[in-house]
Amino acid sequence: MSNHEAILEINDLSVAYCTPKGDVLAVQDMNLRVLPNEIMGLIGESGSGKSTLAYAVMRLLKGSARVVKGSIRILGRDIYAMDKEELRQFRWTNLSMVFQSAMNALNPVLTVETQIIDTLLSHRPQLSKREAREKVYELVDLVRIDRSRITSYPHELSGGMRQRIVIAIAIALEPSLVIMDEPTTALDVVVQRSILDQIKEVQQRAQFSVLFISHDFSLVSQLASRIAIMYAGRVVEVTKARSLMDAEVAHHPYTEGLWRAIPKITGTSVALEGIAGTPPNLLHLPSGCAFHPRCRYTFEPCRTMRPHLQEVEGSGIACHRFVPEEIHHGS
Amino acid sequence: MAHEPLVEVKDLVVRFAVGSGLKRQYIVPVNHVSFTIAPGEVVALVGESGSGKTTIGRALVRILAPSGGSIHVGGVDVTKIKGKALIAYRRQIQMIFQDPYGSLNPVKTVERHMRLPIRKHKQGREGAIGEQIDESLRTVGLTPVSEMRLKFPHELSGGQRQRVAIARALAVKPRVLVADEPISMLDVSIRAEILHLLKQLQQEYSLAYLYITHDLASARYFGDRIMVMYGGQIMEAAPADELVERPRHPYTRLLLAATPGAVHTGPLPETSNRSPNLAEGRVGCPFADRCPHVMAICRTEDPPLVEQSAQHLVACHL
Repeated sequence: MSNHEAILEINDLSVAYCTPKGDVLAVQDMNLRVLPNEIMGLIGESGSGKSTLAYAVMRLLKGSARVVKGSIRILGRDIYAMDKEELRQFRWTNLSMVFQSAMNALNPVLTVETQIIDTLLSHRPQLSKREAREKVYELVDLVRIDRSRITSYPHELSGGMRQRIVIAIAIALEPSLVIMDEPTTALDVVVQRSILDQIKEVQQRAQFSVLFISHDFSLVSQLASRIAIMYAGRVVEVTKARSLMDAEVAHHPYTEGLWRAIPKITGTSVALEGIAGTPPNLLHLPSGCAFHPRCRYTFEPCRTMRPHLQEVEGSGIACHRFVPEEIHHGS
Repeated sequence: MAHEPLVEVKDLVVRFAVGSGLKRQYIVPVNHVSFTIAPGEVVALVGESGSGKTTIGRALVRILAPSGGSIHVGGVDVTKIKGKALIAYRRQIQMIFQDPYGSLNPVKTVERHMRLPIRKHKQGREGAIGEQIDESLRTVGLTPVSEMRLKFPHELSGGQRQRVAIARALAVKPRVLVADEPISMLDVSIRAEILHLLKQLQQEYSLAYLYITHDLASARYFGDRIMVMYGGQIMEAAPADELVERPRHPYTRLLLAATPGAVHTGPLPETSNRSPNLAEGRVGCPFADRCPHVMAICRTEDPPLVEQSAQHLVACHL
């Protein structure tokens, strides 16, 4: 895969939070590529750095957080090299984001229609009012909201409908990349499922890439084509979603552990196995592989040497048990 | 059933007032619900937000007073008890909550969290309290005990905090534990461990559970039986595997299709995504507005919960 094909290209990225106890690296030496028209899942537990990564990609890091190393390129452009106005134009036109509590991100005193039109006009001032309204209709049709509801205020809509509106605003300017950070976590399962179905449908129709961040493994494995698994600020594995269900394909011990820890709704009920221990404190990361104190396969090199992720054909595992040639890809 | 039921809930109704003055209206989050829990049995109560599942849990431990119906535990009517009788009742039944960050007091050590329920329920002499605390902490796997006793909640991880909450609930040696979404705020790798602990306690102390959750997959894993709620009523109840493998109620089928990991393709089997109407005086099946199989009778008559096959109860006109 040549590099310039990727929509999002993260190279050797480290993000640090400055704390009184010293710098904490929430994201470390991260490499990730999202391809055109791909839904890429990003899985991790709390504190794994997945949301920090999302904010870094949007260049929205706040407070003491800053990029200390590496680069983020979207459509080949380094977003940290842009000036303010360039960035403002670039965001939303090429890159947008749906936050976890996005349904509360709408302005309560403006109608939904006004908010979508505002977004359109601030980036495309040449649009006429009529054209803008046509576009609003097109967008709400796309996320399956009745046209009559666009004159509603946010409080008049259910949580699921508000989340759909936020998704409509995120794709209003036909960006190449939409980052979704736990967009359905606060919703009921039935609403969640219908929104995920819609994301998939809209994504296929409008042709954009999604970086979908979540802690819910079974959900992401259904939605995404590829999944990156994060642990303690690093990507420990990038895998094809389909290969998770395939018992023949080997995975990182952490991926394996997470998959075994979730109760399944299908098949015979098998005993769950948790992962012993607790996620590490980022201030005192274990030496070598950060997962080694919780890993059932730990052997000598794990304690001293950090394993690197080497991607071959879009998959890879950062673990001393695997050398790249041995990784199966689960066609 | 071989055993006398330990918990017997009959026709439970909980009514809340919303609004005030002339605009005062009533909603009925729990509408004529009946069920039993056998000693040592895990009954999972599954439903969306607003289905009334938490309200049932709260009514059962009598944080809430029921508006109608009755609750018997161990053969004793606890529907309207107060004062000393209520305190005595809480020795039989305890509750753990969803948020292990909110349910512990940040300025109290683990030891002080444990001391209060043991003293309040006066089980043993003052001198024996320390031993009881140690024993409870060991039971839930919070070791080394001498270190854990002196920790404050902020020094513990989410999983450890939930263990403290469980130890505290178990300190009075209850027979029933109401667990309201006990794992949904924990990290995935920690959830299985907490479920294991709950299961182990069930076997060791023949503890019965009302396990409240929105997640059918964990209900199937932990529950002996599953009850599915919608709009304040039980739609379907069956042994866990039976319910997941042979769902009969259209709402259960919808819930199953929507659960992550389910093999379901195509559109969801629903006709709208309106949330249920809980207003007092509503007639008909609460799911009628969303049901793909809705018939005329569904809008006028409430379907009763009837046993369609052994232990498989369904409330549907179909």
